[in-house]
Amino acid sequence: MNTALTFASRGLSAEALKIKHTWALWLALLAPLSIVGMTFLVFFFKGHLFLKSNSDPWLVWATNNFLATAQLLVPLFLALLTALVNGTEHQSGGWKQLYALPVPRWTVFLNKYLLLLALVILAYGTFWLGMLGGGYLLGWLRPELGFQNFHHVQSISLGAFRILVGSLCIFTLQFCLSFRFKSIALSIGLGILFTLAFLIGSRWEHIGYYPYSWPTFSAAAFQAKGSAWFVPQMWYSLAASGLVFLVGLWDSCRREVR
Amino acid sequence: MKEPLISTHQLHCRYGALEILKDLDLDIPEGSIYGFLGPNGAGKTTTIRLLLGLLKPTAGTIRLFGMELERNRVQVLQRVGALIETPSLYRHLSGRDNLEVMRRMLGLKKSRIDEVLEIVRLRQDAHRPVKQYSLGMCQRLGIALALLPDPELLILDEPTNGLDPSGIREMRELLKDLNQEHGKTIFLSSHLLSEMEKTVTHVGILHQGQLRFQGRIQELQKATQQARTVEVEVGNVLLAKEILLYLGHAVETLDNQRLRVAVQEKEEAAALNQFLVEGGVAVYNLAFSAQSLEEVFLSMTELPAFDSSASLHLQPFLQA
Ligand SMILES: Nc1ncnc2c1ncn2[C@@H]1O[C@H](COP(=O)(O)OP(=O)(O)OP(=O)(O)O)[C@@H](O)[C@H]1O
Ligand SMILES: [Mg+2]
Repeated sequence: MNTALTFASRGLSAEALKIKHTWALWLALLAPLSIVGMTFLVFFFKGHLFLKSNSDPWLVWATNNFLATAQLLVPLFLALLTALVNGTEHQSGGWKQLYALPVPRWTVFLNKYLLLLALVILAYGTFWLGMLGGGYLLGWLRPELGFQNFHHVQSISLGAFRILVGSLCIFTLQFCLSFRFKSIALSIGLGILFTLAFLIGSRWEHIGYYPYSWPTFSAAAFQAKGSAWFVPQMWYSLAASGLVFLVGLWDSCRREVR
Repeated sequence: MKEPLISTHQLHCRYGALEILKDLDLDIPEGSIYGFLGPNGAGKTTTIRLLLGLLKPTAGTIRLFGMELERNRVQVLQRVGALIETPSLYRHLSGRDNLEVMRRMLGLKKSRIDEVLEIVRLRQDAHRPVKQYSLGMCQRLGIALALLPDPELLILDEPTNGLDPSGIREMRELLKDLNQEHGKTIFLSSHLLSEMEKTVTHVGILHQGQLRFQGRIQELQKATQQARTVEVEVGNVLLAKEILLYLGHAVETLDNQRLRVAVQEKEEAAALNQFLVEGGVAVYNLAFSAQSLEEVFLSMTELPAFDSSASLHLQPFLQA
């Protein structure tokens, strides 16, 4: 167990160095900020047109941020980020080097997964802070919108957390795709295809079993009154990503590097 | 006798239906510099990938340091440094950061980076991003990566690829130094025998996935001595052949005017001429020829593997 921890911590710090001077870190910070920033501008300039006076503006603000994000941007962001980080390894021909190192084979997969998971959590953290910060900034700059009169830190934090859990399965799936296949276009292309499939089929009654819908269902719990902390899709997402992770890990251990 | 550092037994490997390696029995003694030679597509890189556990053999066993590779992968690889084909470099990182990635992965001490940069003479350029490196500089960095863990066994796939003549010489000196001063065993692949002739202690010649020769470089040199011949053009081939056979030479008839005769030394040509003339044979032409080591190597790898005349070149006139 101790040696396993040593391998993981060494590997993780090595992986972290590899993303230096790449877009990965910027993407994790800028993608959430750009969503919040865009919504911010809309509220700043046009907020008085669609917010009723004396009503709670936070609900509209959060819903606007959550829904666009969960439906479209999260899957695309995850496809892009995983393809970018695993792509550097494919491009440099680094797999043969990694798998010839005196470390157990599973560490290669695990280290990359953990690094990307950290980036994803960083992105969600940025998103969460941006939403809260943006709301209070609006309350200060445009007091007539009324942001300063209400407080929803808890429910917004929960909302962001729900989407994070709801998107884990997409993350793991996209991770495995980009880990396995050299072509960046393939993993991003499939990501787009799967997302489009969800948007097209969103009225289908069984769409709730489709992984690319899970962030949306998780986000929708924010609006629903009295929803539990965990909506069913979040459980699906956790279970399915655990399964995909194990299959990916198993496959990575018996992979031949040609 | 000590167990070889690397030994493979009846190693087979195939890509799909294509059989790449057949019955490979490698023996790399400890403390040797083993030159693994073969033309393009012979299977050198495939063999190296097998030795590092990157590929699984279809059949056969691989032992390194007396341990079975499959079951002791991590333990074995701890003692190995490798460069496989083109070095795996992160082009957006500097040379030093590339080494740092590897250092962190292996948990080595920091000072080792400067040591290997010094060895491959990249200290000056260590801060530059690798995408600005020339081919030779990338190659040096790849070798630095292989040297980083200070391994007992170095496995280098075409280490001189892309190096300039002085770089090649430096590489030879470096390999000799590592071998003689630091006692490292080196397994390296190459296309060119001439490039490695002066460095290696042992050679293995691979052709179409089969080992055509394996042994000390001196044994290969001995083989070239067997390839010294005199070609004579004479009036009466039958008579000439009789005389030469009587003298105890191996003789091969080339056409109705020419014979090829095996000799030990160049001086024998004069004696041959004298005997033939005294025996009443008109000698029109007489030429001495010797195959260089490179030619012997080429003759082993030019002919298709199933053509038995390939081995005939090695032992030219045994049938006489
Ligand atoms: N990924 C692969 N898939 C299928 N066949 C392959 C693959 N890699 C190599 N081969 C085949 O295996 C054979 C041996 O290739 P290998 O790379 O081992 O040769 P090599 O001796 O290293 O040649 P070179 O001197 O050009 O580096 C070749 O016939 C090649 O076509
Ligand atoms: Mg090769």
